[in-house]
Order: sequence, then structure tokens, then C-alpha cells
Amino acid sequence: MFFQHLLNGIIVGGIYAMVALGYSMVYGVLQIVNWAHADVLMFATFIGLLLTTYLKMPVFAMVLLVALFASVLGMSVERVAYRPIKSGNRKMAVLVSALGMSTFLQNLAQLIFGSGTRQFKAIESKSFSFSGFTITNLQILILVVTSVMLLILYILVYRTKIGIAMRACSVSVDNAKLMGINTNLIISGTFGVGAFMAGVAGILIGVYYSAVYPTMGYLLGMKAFAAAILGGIGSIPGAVFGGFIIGTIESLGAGYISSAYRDAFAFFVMILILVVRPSGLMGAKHIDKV
Amino acid sequence: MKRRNGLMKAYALIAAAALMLSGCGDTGSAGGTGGVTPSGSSSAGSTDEKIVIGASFPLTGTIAADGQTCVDAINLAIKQANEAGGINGREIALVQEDDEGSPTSAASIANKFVDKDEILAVVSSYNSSCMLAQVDIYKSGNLPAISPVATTPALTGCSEYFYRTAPNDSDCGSYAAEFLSGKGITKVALFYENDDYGLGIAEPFQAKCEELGIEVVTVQTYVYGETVDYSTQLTATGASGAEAIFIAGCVTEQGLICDQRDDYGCGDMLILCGNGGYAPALLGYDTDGVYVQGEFDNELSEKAKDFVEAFKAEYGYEPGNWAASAYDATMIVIEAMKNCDGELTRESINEQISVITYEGVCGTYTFENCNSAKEELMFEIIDGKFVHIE
Repeated sequence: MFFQHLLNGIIVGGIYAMVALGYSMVYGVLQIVNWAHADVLMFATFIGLLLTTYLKMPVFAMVLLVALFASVLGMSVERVAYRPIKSGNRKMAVLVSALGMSTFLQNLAQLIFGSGTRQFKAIESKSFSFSGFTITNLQILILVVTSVMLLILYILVYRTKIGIAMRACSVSVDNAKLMGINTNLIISGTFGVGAFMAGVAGILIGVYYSAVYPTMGYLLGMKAFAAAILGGIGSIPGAVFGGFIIGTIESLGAGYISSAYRDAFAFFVMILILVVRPSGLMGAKHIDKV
Repeated sequence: MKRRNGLMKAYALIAAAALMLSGCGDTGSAGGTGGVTPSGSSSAGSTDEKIVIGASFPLTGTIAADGQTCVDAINLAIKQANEAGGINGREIALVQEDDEGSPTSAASIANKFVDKDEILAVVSSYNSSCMLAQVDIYKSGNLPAISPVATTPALTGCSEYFYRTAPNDSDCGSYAAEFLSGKGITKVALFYENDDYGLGIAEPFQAKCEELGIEVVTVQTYVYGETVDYSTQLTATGASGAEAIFIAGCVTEQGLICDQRDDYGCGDMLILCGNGGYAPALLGYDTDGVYVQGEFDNELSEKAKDFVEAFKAEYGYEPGNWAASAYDATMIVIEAMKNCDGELTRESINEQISVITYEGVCGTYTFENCNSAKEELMFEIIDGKFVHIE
């Protein structure tokens, strides 16, 4: 049973990691929390549902289209809600704008798609069990897709020129500008990449649980954000690591202690780690100079 | 300056969109049934005014579909009553509000209803938690309220202005245990939603299980409207040696549990859903062979058959447990109004409901401590239909 709980935890953990990356990367370059991130995920998942239900699109094409849609939506959110007000030291204004965008997307989704829970059966579920241990084709798919996506992201950030530019922006946007980097493009791209991952994660989780609803981003986003903080916000490996930690602890805690406190475990661990290491597990030590 | 103008335009656009959205919300919650009389406070007694009934149900959120089916049933009842001449020639109108399944919204709606003098009775609400939030407010305004769905034992006898056509949770819980015992089950896993409704069924269920010698091998909970991942709960259940799962909760969660059970080694277990699941939405999930509790059999009587016919003709789908209950609740209010001699007031209607004996589509109602005993029935889902088995 332990391994089963562990597996369940790793699978949700992978999803949290993919969503957490979006929070962490955006925070890395802009030092703002993109509260609309999880709602972009929700919106994209609904689009995937529509593509599957009404256009009977094959799964692979659907996922690709949804991820592209998500990144366009993510970049539009940045263009409309953040870029116009992010100049100067107006973090609070950006924060409020982010919350507004989140509420706007949620309500728009309720208006367009209705507020009920929709079923999402894009892939027929098959389970394989051996010696008391069960794994389904969906779980395998999630593991594979998550690993591939994380690998691609790693290559993008650490092995390409765009990646260097992104990392430069995360050190200092102003200095990156001086080095001839088109920072607006890079920031936009960061939103796009984060949202792309979120789009894929949204489809995975929507199909895995067969439930898509306008508030699906809320708790998922909260936990992914907790994962990003726990790993050290701004740090890419930190976000991935944090996602897996939150997922496993939640699953083991719910399995062995009580399912009533399932959601509390994630946040409890986050608080615990922040007390010991305020910058998160892998976050850079940041000293505010006065 | 140019840039700034563009910016202003963008904000104006968002503001306009936001206004539009909130505007839509308003019409959604107030509308549907032709609106309210724009009358002053003293209008309740005059003879040509409409009689207004309030309804507070979740019309957005995860159980919007269940709330809507109740409101549909209420509208049907009112329509039929109006076609039959209303109350002494006065037409009945409905004000419907969306409580989102949230106790906070429910409480503010209750205050609104109490403040509107033209509202003489209320059919409300879906969730036990919402009803608990509302019941004292209705009492303070002497406004009689009748709930078709709120089942928690905590509501029993808590107000002389509250009634329910909903069954009592303790009956549901013990009936479920008896049914499982009859099926020869000795080990059961209990799933309940972590709120007034789930607990209200879970506690008497556990007590009855103990009495009947059924071992509750694992108790799992989840959050209504939030939990979609049942991997840990089902994994624990799969390893617990349970022969059956009893789910005390609402329909979406029950459906998701049924969908996911195969993946965690619970595929062969008998599944019994509490009465929250007796709604058409459950049929969309992987639920063939699942047992569901309920209190409405559409073959029970001529009255029930007529109701099902009329409902299907009006809305194009089959009414479930709660639609039937909501229909009865509304009809009881209307009947009580007809029974009033003299002036129609909140107090006189309340007086009449408290002594009424009414033959509805789910059986006969008489209220004692706000409850009316209802016969528990068991259904099995066969080929995508609820089939009455006992």
C-alpha cells in the first residue's frame, strides 16, 4: 500500500511541478506572483474539452493545440494586465491586477461553459496490476509526459540562447536590457512557456480525474504555488522538487493519517520548511540592502 | 499621451466586460419566471397583487444542475397552480436567488427575503449547511420556509417556521446499513463529505453498522465541491478488505468515486450511494450496477406518474428525487395558502403548513418537529436508469 500511495503522490506531484514552474519562472523574471496562472490552465482545459467533445480531435493534436492556446492566453494576460502597470515600483498594483485577472477568467468561464463539473474522457482508462500494485495507462502517460516536458524545459532554459536571456532577466531586467536583450519579448516568452506547461498539466489532470470545472484552478494553483515557495520561488529545480514533495506528502499523509486533512498537509509542510529555510529549499539567499 | 489613451481604452473594455458579467449574474438570479411585482410594502393583502414565493437554490457552482432541477420543479408546480386559477384568482410568482451552495450567500438571501414584505413563503435551500445558516433568519421574520433537500438532523425542531419534505439523514444512514446487511456484507468502507450533510448520514450509519455487526473497516472523507482526486481514499479502501463502499455525499463526488474505483483495486466492491446521488447527473458516470438510495419512485402512484409526464414535457428530462421533493414542497405551500381563511399573511400560511396533511408525489406529508417521515427506497442503476428494487 505504501508504494501505491507513493505512486499516487508522485503523479499529482508531477502535475504540481508543471504548474509550479509557471509561478516560479514568472516570479524569477518579474518578482510578481501571476495569480491568473491556474485560471489560464482551467480555461485551456475547457478548450481541450470542447475540441475533444465537438471536433473529436485526436488526443495528441488536441494537447498541442490546447498548450498553444494556453501560451497565447498567458501572454495576453501579461500584455493586458501586467505590462501596462509593471513599470516603476508598483508591485501592489500588479498584485491586484493579477487577482482581478484571475477572477475575470473564472467568471468568464462560468458564463461561457457553465459552472457545473464536466466529464472529460479523452482517453479510455486501463489498469494493470501486479502483486497488489496497480498502475493505469493514464498514470504512465502522466509520468512520461511530465518527464519529457521537464526535460524540454531544462534544455530550453540551460542550453539555449533564449534560456540565457531568461536567466539574465531573472538576475536583473535593467541590466539585461543594457546587454541588448529584448526584455519585453523574453518576459512575454516566460509567460508563454509557463502557460504552455500549465495547458498540458490541465489536460492531464482533467483527463486523469475526468473532471473539468471553472474553479479547478483554485486549489491546484494554491498547491502549486506552495510547491514553488517550498522549493524556493524563482528556482526552476526548486519548483519541480517542491511539486513532488507536496504531492507525495499529501498522498502519504492522507493515506496514513486522515484524508480529512489532505489539503492541510501540503501547506503545513510549506510552513515548516519556510520556518527553517525562509528562502525555500533551493532558493537563492537574498539579502535586501538598505 | 497616445500610449496612455490606449491604456485607458483597455481598462474601459475590461470595466465594460466586468459590468456586463455582473449584469448577467443579476438577471440570472432574479429572472426566469416573469419577475416580481414591483409593489410597496403594504401590498400583500390586496387582492389583485401576485402572491410571491421565494426560492434560494444553488444555480451556479458544482451542484448548479441539482439546484436547477429543484427550481424547475418549483416553477412547474407554480405554473400548474396558476393554470388552475391560482389562490382565489390571485396569481403566484416566484423570486429565485442563487445561493451558490455557500452558507454566506444563503444567509444574505434569507435576509433579503425577510425584508421583502411581498414574499409570503420560501422554498429553500439545497444544502444542509445553507439551510442551517438561513433557518434563524426566516424565524426572525416569521417567514415560513420549507426545504426539499436539507436533510441534516441538526434542523429537527429548530424553528416553528421551518419544515422539510426532505428525509431525515439518520433514517437514510440506518437504512443504508440495513440494506448492506441484507446483502450479506460484513466489511464496509465509509466515504462521506466533510460537512453537515455527510456527517449527518455517516454517524447514524456507523451506529447502525455496529448494531448489525458490520465492521466499518475504513472511514474516508473528502471536501464537497473541491475534491476530484480520490486516489488515496480508494487506495486505502482497496487495501482494507472492504466488500462494499457506502458514499454519503452529493452527486458529482459520488460519480467521480465510481469512475475512479476501478483504478485502485475497488472495482469489484458493491457501491451504495446515499440519497444525494439520486439525480440524473449520476447516470453520466461509470455507475452501472451501483445502488442508490432515494425517496421517490416514479411508478408509485398516478400522481407521481402525472408529475413525471408533466416534468418531462416541460423540461425534456426525467425528474429525480430532489425535483420530486421540491415539487411537493411547493405544492404544500400552495395548498396551505388555499387553506387560509381571511387575510393571507406569513403567519397564517405558517399556521396552515403546520397542520397540513398533504398527499404528494413522494407520499403523504404531515409535519412534526419540522420533519415528515418518508419511506426509504432502494434503486439500482441498470442500463443507465434508476430501477426501484425495494
